[in-house]
Amino acid sequence: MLEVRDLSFRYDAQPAIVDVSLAVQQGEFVALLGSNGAGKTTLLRIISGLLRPASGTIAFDGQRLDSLQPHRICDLGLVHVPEGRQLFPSMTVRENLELGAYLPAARRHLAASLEYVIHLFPKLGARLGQLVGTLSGGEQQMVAIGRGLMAGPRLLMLDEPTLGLSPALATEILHTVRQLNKERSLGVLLVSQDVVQALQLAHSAYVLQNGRMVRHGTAEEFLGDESLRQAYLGI
Amino acid sequence: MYQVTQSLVSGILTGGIFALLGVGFSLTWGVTRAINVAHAAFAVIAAYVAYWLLQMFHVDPLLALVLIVPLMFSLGVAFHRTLIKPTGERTHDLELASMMLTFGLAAAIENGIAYVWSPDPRVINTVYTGKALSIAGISMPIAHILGFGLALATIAALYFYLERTFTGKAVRAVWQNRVGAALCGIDLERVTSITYGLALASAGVAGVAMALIYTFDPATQFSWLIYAFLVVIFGGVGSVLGSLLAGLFIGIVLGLSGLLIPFAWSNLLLFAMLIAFLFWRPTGLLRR
Ligand SMILES: Nc1ncnc2c1ncn2[C@@H]1O[C@H](COP(=O)(O)OP(=O)(O)O)[C@@H](O)[C@H]1O
Ligand SMILES: [Mg+2]
Repeated sequence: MLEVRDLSFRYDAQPAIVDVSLAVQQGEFVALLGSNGAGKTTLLRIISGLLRPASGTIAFDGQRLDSLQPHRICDLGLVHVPEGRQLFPSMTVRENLELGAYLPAARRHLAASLEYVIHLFPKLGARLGQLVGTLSGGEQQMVAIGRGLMAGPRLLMLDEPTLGLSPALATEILHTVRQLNKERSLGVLLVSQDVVQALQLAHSAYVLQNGRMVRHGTAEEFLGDESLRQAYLGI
Repeated sequence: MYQVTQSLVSGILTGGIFALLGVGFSLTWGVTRAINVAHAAFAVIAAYVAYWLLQMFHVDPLLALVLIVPLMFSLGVAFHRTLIKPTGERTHDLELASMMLTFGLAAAIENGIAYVWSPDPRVINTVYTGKALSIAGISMPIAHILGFGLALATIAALYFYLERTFTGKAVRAVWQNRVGAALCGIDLERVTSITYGLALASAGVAGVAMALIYTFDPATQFSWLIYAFLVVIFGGVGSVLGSLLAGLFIGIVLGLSGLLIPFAWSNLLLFAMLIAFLFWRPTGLLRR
């Protein structure tokens, strides 16, 4: 479904992504792991078109993405829920969610999508009229994921959706993502610091180190092999 | 007391037009981080177009808006595509770069108008120019009432467009978070072009409204720009309602101060208040 090949990117002089390849199959749940500064956020930003790669290719269902604008990529069903949420703080929860369905294809299903998001995150249902800037961090994260779902994605990329949340809330959010993955066979590419939990939910995992992809394996391999975990994940 | 009411009323009428002059300036500043110092010069272009349509074809300025508004909208889109966007791609400090660029553009427009149409001051003379309505002893020039009506209608339309329509919400989204907006599938370039179109269209209406009540010449753009700046600073960058309140406030201050101090001093008073205001509330009346 998503096929990234030999991708490279540099910020000014400093290389941030070096010859990275990665694939996500239809309906697959993939964890992207790596320590702070490894390049995970940069990689997602390249895939969603916010940054232009220096070299390499990105294909989604066979279509090349690496020269498309972010709104075109979103339109293809590859949706990025970014680090730091990037919501519209002076707009209401409802407006934020509606904007997720900005593109004509998504707008046609706006009412049904909104209902589904509220079904997933009942807390948002009671706060539709509230300004997003006044929500708690956990509620804002629900809006961010909800906004991503409103676009009608086939593959959802989530960048640290549990950062700064209580462990209970983090678990709740990750399980909701897993539920989406199962029920709607939604492809998921998850970046998370909750390594163990991410591995428990994911089918497979990639490890990024200093901008290079150093390891790829099934979640079971990582969970079952302590030396592997220690070498690449430090746990 | 009569004089106070009279000054208050004329202050409100002109203040509404100042608000319209500032609202588009505020919008492009907020949405794109570009400070379009040529905003008022575009308004003066519209005033001249209205003037010549009246002189040459006897088209009433209000009717001329049917032509001026789409013309100014297209000019705004072209202005963004050819000048603002390429500048944005080449700099990290668009606020400063755009200010330099559009300062030059404003000078070019001013001199261009002077060259083509001479620097003579112009007056729009319609059938209603100089006529006034008298309500409860308060005299209201018809031109002022029409200008104020135009301003209110345009600001209201802009407000509802931004609050209620999908594209309008996209404009606000781009203003609040560009990355978030792009990831929602919003085409930043298109939305920014529309913003410039709306801004210059509103400047066009403001130019016509100003021309209904004041004489103007090519250099008038500078004094109109001052009003636009005052509106943004009092009203807060990017806020439509803030612009409206700020415009009314400026109009009332100018109107009332005329009773107490010589007219030449009113602008000085305005700037003194501006400085005091910036200390007290640097983000504008309505913080957003
Ligand atoms: N805007 C930027 N300009 C320059 N360097 C950056 C920028 N953003 C990130 N970097 C650098 O790129 C590397 C990868 O960062 P990032 O992708 O944010 O990592 P991660 O998400 O894995 O923590 C880091 O060394 C970081 O300092
Ligand atoms: Mg990161």
